[in-house]
Amino acid sequence: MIVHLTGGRCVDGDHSLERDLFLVDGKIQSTIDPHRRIDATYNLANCVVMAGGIDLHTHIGGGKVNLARMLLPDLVRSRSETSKDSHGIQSLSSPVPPAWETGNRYLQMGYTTCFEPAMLPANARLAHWEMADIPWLDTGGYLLLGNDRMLLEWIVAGVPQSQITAYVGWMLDAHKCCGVKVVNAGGIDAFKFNARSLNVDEQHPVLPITPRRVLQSLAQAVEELRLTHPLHVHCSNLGVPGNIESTLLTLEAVEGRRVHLTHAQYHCYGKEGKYGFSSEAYRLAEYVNWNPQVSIDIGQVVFGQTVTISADSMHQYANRKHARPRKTIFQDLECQAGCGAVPFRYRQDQFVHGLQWTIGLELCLRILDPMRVFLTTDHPNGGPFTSYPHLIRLLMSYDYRMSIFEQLHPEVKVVSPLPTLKREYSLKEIAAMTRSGPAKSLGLTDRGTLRDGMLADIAVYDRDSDVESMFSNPRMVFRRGDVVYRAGEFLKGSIKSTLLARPTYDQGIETVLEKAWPEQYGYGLLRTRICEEELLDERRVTTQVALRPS
Amino acid sequence: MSHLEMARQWLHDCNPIIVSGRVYSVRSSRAVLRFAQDHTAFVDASECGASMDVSMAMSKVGMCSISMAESRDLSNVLVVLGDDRLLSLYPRLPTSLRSERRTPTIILLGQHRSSSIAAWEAEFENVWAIECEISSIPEAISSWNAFSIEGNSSERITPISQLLAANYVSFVWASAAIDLEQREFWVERLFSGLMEWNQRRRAGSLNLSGLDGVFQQVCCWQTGFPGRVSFTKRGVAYLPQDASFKKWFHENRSNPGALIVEVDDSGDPSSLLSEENADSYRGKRIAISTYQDRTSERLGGRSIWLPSLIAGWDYDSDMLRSDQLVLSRVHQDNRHEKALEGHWPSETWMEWLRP
Repeated sequence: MIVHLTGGRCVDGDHSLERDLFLVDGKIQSTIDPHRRIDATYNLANCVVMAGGIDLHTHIGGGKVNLARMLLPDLVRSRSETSKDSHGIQSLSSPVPPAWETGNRYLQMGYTTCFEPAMLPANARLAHWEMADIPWLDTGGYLLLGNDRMLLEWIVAGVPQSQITAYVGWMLDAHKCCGVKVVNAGGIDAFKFNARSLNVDEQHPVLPITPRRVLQSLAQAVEELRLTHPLHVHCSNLGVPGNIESTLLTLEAVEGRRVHLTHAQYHCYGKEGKYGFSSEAYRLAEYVNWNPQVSIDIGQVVFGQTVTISADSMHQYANRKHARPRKTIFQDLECQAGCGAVPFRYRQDQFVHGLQWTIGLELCLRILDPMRVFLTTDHPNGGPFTSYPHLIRLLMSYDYRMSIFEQLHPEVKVVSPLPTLKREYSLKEIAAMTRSGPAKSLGLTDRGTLRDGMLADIAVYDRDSDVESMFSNPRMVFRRGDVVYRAGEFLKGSIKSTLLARPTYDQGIETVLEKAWPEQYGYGLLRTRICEEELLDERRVTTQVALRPS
Repeated sequence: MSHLEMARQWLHDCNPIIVSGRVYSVRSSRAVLRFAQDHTAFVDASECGASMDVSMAMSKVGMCSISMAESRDLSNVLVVLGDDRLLSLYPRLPTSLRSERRTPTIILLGQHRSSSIAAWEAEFENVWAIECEISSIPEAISSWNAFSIEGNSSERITPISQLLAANYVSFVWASAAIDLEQREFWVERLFSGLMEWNQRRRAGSLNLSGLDGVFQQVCCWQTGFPGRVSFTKRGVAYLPQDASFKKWFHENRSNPGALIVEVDDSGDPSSLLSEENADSYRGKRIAISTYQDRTSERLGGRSIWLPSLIAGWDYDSDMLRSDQLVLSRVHQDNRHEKALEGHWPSETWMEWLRP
């Protein structure tokens, strides 16, 4: 099967130029054997052609997402009740839509790959099942470690780093994940012992261990396993005024190892000003600019109703007083982590919410390298993923940004430096932060750009001065070279892939775990390990993400 | 006409249709939902309504819960709520909660008789039974929360003082074992009380559900709702009251056009329809179950039996632990040489019945 895309402007993180592409048996080529028959040709004059979008941090699978659904059936609206924005974009039926809607709506924006960022080991099989039901998207997950009591106790006992690295490798392999996430290192466990906060160098209430030590062990394990995606870190003081200090301490704690700071917007607050809440985006952005081993995703806030879901039960419990509607869920889970679901409404006329909105944008605008700052709303925490076209417009147009800024709480306009940041993102930079950057960060060597040999997962947008409209309505989307979406219609299904890492680790750890695991969890390894066959069927395959060279 | 063809014909002709039963694996849950969507049917796979009552309570006030391993490893006091029904549903519960690492105090709160007390005492040294009306349990817990004990007082010998001084309290109960008219309201009050409890100290609810928990999970991610949904041509509607099997049956028992599709993954030989209900039912029924039950006989030509296999026994299945957290692959355990001829997994039957 050969498809010829002609006349389009091909934009990826490296280039923006008009050229033809051939989609040959599911892969991109710039030339073909002239004797081969072309099956279809699409004239894409006045179109922008990009690789399929990659969302590296979106909560789309697992028990916490379902808990939020159970908590909020009253927020679900039927299609006839959902509203359309000025660009004709239908709002989601719920802050946590069902799987089919998630897949459809991502594809409708030209996204083809998404990552669930917090897979609890005990719940990983369920999360994979759920993601298998999300149509159109290749999916992967980051395994949640750093509050698993077994690991904490091993660190306290002073087991060698080699054992910890082997454990992390085994866990990734057994739960079929492609990265390691740590949420409030040690803090979720500390909350189970009634600690209400745990700073980077503060000792756990029961175990002689600090978050710093946990971060170091995990970051080292990620290095030794040669995982491409760095340790994915949710810092200690989510959403707490003044948390910039502990965020910077966290980034320092890994001692120069690579690190990805997630939903960074929530982690760069000061406590200045009349409301005791201020932006420290400048300090974080400068840190990122000067430290090439650090990347971030934004966690941009979008005004409206949503639900925050996080493994950080400690801070979610503290946030329950802000819940709208007034109901929340908390869980302490299996000596591995926790979970909290707090419904939340971001209001444009509220000072803190308005400033949060500016802080996310500030980070994007101040960090110079778009290959290290990724566009996310931490769906659904900051808002729905369907707001990406709107956020792209905010980044690409100073005037549009300011038109929204003018509507914020008056005090925000006094304290925010946003008006001084006149940078406007180019399409190439948007492609970097939504495609090639995440691909590089994750070791997805088969996608993210339009280079020869890449998967033919491609979004074609009609060029439009209103980029929000442009990114909301792709003319067509290809997956593996097949048109799967065109002019508002979903066409034939395509193969889905689960992205996973297969690191090399010391298999001897299994002997240790065969004894330790049942003691901790009450069931054996046989029930724990997910076989790769479980992720396969007639329309599902697995794909290995690249490891770093040794 | 074969049973399969006849079943297809009924599915085409009948209205309304409800799919119900004991749906215990991920695959069969997915199949039930797809099947119900294809046939624009109601679905209620919550066995006795207990798990739905918990979901509805949760959607009103939220929840504060703890999982099994955490409860075993972390809690120094386990408060077991309810009565003897709990251990008749979960006889291995005391063993499952026993840990080599910790020796928690057990407080049996409710109407636990000597056999239950003995079962807990067989696993734990420090067991106290406090008799209390089950309906009053949430209020008792909330009222205790008003007190606190400071320091290492010698007064910690009473169960309540141990409860108040505990680092972490697990409240262990099973919704199906709480036999109250207003169970949903009871759960709401319990959850509200536990949320408050956590302001000063830590506690969680270890709520054991039936094996129908897996259907709730799958239904949640496929429809956005935890069960009791109705599929129409325009989409799906959440009807926590109106889509209950009980209510649907009450409204449609005299309707000859009604159709019940009963799916059973469990090998339980009993039908959801009691004999009395079967006698008064005028509609049709398709039973996808391991055994041909008595209801089939009573309904005669208005019932079709499609013989199924037992999930997690006759074939590998992914099933959820009772705390709704750990989804395990339960491997085939039935090693008999001869496969049950003509029996198929329920999901296979439902696939064959697609329009």
